Amino acid sequence: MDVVLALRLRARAALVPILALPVLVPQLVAATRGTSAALSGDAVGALSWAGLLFAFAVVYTVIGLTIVPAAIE
Amino acid sequence: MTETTIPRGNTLPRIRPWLGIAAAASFVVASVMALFWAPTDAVQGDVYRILYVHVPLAWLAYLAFVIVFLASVGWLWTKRPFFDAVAVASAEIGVLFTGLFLVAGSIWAKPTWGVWWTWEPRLVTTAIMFVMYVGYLLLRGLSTDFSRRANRAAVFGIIAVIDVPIVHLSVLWANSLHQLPTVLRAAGSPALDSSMLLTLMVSLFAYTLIYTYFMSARVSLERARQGRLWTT
Repeated sequence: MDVVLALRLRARAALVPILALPVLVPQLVAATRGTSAALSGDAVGALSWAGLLFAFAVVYTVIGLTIVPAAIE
Repeated sequence: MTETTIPRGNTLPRIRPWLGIAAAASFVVASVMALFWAPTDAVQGDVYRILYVHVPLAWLAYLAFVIVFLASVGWLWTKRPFFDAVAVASAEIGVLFTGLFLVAGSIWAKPTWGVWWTWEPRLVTTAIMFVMYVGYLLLRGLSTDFSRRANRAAVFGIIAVIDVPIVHLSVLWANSLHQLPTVLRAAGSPALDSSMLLTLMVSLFAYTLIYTYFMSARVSLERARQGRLWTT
């Protein structure tokens, strides 16, 4: 029984990266590319990546406010 | 309790065998058309025939996940267990088809592009989509409380569908701003001959019937499970 419980808990901990990775990939790509563009003096590139990041932020905030209450109720 | 019978009632179980027969028959027709009737491609030769498997699998993968999304919205909105059954059924079938889609794509990529895998936007997006829905199924396995499980799964099912285009966009940008995929340029998409197009349409139809058949079987299985496990 304890073993089953431990397995359950470990599965839960292991699930976080699996679920988070796909959602974090766009931010990771945008942040790294934007930073490298900014460091190499490419202002247009840096700004467009920042704009993309901003758009992600808006989308995820809206989704979060609409459906997360359902998840924690 | 008086109402121990679960509200399964519809005609689905009765038409299901016919649906199965129709799916199998159209699959045979589509395969014969794809292998023998459709002309050989001028550039790629016979290898291109995997298109008739690859494209329908891609279509089904996307269809399945859109249905997960709609069913998730339906569950959060109405709290009817039926929607949760549709969501889990479609997610499982979608994972199966996405897996086959990746495998078929890989088999096609080797002779045409010379590599099994390349970090091209569409491939990356599909791989991430696959991981996402495997995660969705794992998430469902964690909770034992029915409505909590359904809620969490529905939230993730909605986020996943919104996230897939975003992932695609970001990876597409990352590639287009720096380097263009040179290997993929050469392959391109040749204009389809009308008999090729017809074969593709028949394949799409056949695979969609297979999906419908799988769905009807899986949904009623899930409904029966819900009836046994959750209504006490």
